[in-house]
Amino acid sequence: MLLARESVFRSSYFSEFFLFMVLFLMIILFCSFGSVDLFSFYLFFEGRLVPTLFLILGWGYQPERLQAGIYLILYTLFASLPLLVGVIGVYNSSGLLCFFFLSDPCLSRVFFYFCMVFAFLVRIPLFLVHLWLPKAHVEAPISGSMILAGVLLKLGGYGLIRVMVFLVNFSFNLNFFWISISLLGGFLVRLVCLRQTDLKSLVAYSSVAHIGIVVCGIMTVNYWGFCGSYVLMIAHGLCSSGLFCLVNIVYERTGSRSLLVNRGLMCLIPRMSIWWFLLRSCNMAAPPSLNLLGEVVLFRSLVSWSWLTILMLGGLSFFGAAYTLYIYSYSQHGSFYSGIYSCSIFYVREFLLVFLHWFPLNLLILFRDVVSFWL
Amino acid sequence: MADKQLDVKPAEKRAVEAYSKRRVALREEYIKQITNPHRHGTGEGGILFDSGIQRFMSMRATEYDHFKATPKTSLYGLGFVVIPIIAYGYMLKSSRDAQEHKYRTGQVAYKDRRFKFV
Repeated sequence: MLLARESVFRSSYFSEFFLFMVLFLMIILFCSFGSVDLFSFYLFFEGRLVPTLFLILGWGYQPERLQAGIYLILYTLFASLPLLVGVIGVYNSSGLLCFFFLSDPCLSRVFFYFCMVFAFLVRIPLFLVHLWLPKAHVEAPISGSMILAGVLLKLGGYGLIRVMVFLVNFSFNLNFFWISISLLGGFLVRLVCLRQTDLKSLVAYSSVAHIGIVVCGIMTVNYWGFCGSYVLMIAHGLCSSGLFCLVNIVYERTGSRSLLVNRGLMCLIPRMSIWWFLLRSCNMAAPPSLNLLGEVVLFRSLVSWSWLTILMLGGLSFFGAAYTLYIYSYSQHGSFYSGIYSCSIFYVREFLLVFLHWFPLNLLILFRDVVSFWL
Repeated sequence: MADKQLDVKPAEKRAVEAYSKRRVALREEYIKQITNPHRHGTGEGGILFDSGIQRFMSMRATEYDHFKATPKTSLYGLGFVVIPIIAYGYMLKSSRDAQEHKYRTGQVAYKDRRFKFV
């Protein structure tokens, strides 16, 4: 994140405060992923909103960042208040909040199931409640986009995996609804990606599309579903963050995120095309990427849950590849925009940044059993 | 020779000449701007401002501000989003319940299950 936003330090635009926000957010995320009881997880789950909002409002580019910040806060807080009610309900039912001892179903009402699950579904985000994500990603600075795509969305998935353990008795009867929304939503969002002309907005919508399959995997309550979701969350975090870095590299040169302007980049910055190709191929789960492992495991989990999921999964894969190839081809091939002024080719800092995203993405698949079967 | 075209009406000819004159002027202005050595020399990058592209990008960015809920748009939302989700969810639930009923009532032996492992 610090490598990506070097311009803050170069221009001394409240660089110390920026560094503080990034480190504060990192510490909160460490605490949230490392917390062993439900209440502390809830505390840090909410706490990460403040530095994220500061990053978007303080270092974003356009006036629309105000609306994006409001969407982010209102969507997440509105969904998280029922989560607090659910946490209190869990404590009343079982007398404890520690994850290790909450293995048996302890909640007796469907109301608590929706309370616990909804906050994470908005966070992850599920289709229909995903509107905050493209706004927040587009208006956030590159550091904000990287941390949002790379880690913050995964908090929702992590939370779902944690709570699904003691919501099993409702999950078996009610999860079909979330699977239906995610599969159809993923399909529709991939169609939306095909008509995007803003690069950052496109990567944001592709995040929603990928996370839809993650939600489906968790909702099947299969071991393979959990493992596949875990792998795909890691893979998506690296891939999406890397794509945002690439978009920012181009944006720093042309000053525009529009696909109409950022085209034919292979003629201008050929050494960046290889990274576009590698990260885009990982995005569409081409071998040998970690996305492939996650998607294969998730497809198997979903098809074992119900054969009807094949209908949507085929459409998801096809249109996922379609928009990825369309974007790669449009941005890299063909003639470049005639109105571009001279700019630098590539910095080593940017090369390192993208390499550090790609390296685990294509190498971790060689350690498949270590990566995927942690749970 | 070119100004003695006999199959072109005078009004058409005037229009083509006016268009060509404007196009040449715009082209010269574009070449003058894009070859500005001071702008290239700083290496700051950026693009030459194009009002058409800016209008298009602003239009795409503010699409929702001009959205109006009408019966037609509501039907689009219902037909492409809500009804398919409900229908697909119903199909998933029915197929899943039928499959589970067969497994739990012993109509399918454990060894004959398509997916045995979780």
